[in-house]
Amino acid sequence: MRQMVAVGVLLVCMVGCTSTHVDDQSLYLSLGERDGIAAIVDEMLFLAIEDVRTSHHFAGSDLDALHGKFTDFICELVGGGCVYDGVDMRKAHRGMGLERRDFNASVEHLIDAMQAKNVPIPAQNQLLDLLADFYADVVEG
Amino acid sequence: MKWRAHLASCVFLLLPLTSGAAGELLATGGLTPVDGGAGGGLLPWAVIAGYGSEQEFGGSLSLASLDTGDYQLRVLGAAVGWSNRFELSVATQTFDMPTLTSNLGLAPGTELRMNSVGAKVRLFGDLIYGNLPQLSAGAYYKRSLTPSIPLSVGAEDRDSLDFFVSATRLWLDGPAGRRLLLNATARRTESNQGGLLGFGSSTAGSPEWVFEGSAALFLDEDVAVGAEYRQMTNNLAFAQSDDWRDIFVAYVPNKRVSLAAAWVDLGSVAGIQNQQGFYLSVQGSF
Repeated sequence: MRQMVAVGVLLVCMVGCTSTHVDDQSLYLSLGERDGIAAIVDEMLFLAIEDVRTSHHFAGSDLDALHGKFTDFICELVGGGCVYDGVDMRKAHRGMGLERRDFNASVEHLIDAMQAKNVPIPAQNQLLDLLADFYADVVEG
Repeated sequence: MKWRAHLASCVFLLLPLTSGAAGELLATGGLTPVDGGAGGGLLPWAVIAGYGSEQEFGGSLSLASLDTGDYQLRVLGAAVGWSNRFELSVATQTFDMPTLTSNLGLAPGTELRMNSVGAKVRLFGDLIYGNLPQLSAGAYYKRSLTPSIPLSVGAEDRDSLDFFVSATRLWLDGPAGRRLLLNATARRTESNQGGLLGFGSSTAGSPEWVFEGSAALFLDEDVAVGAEYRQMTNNLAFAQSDDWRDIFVAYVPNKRVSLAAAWVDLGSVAGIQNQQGFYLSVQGSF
């Protein structure tokens, strides 16, 4: 009985303990404000294009436009006061046939980019946590 | 034992040549528990072995050693995962007991050996994404290769099945901005000391549910510290079994290799109290 209660508490915690919102500018500042975010996105896109697992998804893309959009998207997401004026994540990735492994590859590129830019671990994890919420919008099926 | 060491070194050398796509994230394949498969050092988690994503194979091979002074346990384990959904595993355990063999007047070098074959399936949920924790169900078939000693101390069977259900979740933004992994496992078993002392007894009833849990905090990208707990059954009249516990540190520099070290407390084992010792494991993955 005791172990069943313990399992129950853990399961409730696993379902209910996730909450993500940004109500101050600490993450934005830790990422180096808009310039820092732009540098991270720059590195991330470079890694994505170099990676055989993901490079084909960027064929024919306007990388400058993509860079600006994704920078604004993250900047707005972390409470930086920027305005992302692009389409939502579901529309942005519709028809690309993106799979779980593609999303994971992007997570790895972002982690490597943040490491390269010396972003502190808590800020890295906060941003990854915010972006993980878009998994179902990006990955089809 | 020698051929196993040779086999292990061969596979370790070949692992870097495998062309696994490794579509899952670093450290999400877990370590290898003593029963085999993917999990912590002592218990299975809901994660699938290796780094295979959808429609990909993954797998692991591991060597582990635990030394309490009175006992030495060595485990060689191998597992393969498919599509981040199914997992098959094997593990072979060798248990040396110099103090006990001397006390009981058994031939020096007498050891217990056990094999374990496991299967696991992810039922629903996800380790990281979405709202539900990853939930898996699985089974181990365990068989003693040295049944005379377990049977002589009161075990009823030389082989048995464990069934388990595990829930595992990784929070990317956990305490202190670190990633936190929690696992809860419920297991239906009649294993005595995990099966090393056989299964059931003439006096004990049917298999019972036991609770097992792990917590791990990732200090940075590749180092995690944590603790584990595994409840033991108490079927044998000749000796009390205590629950197993450990604290561990794991180092996962890349998707090919991981190292884990732990301080393990097995409690009382076959009449010898206070069995604590150092655990070390090395794992290759793809």
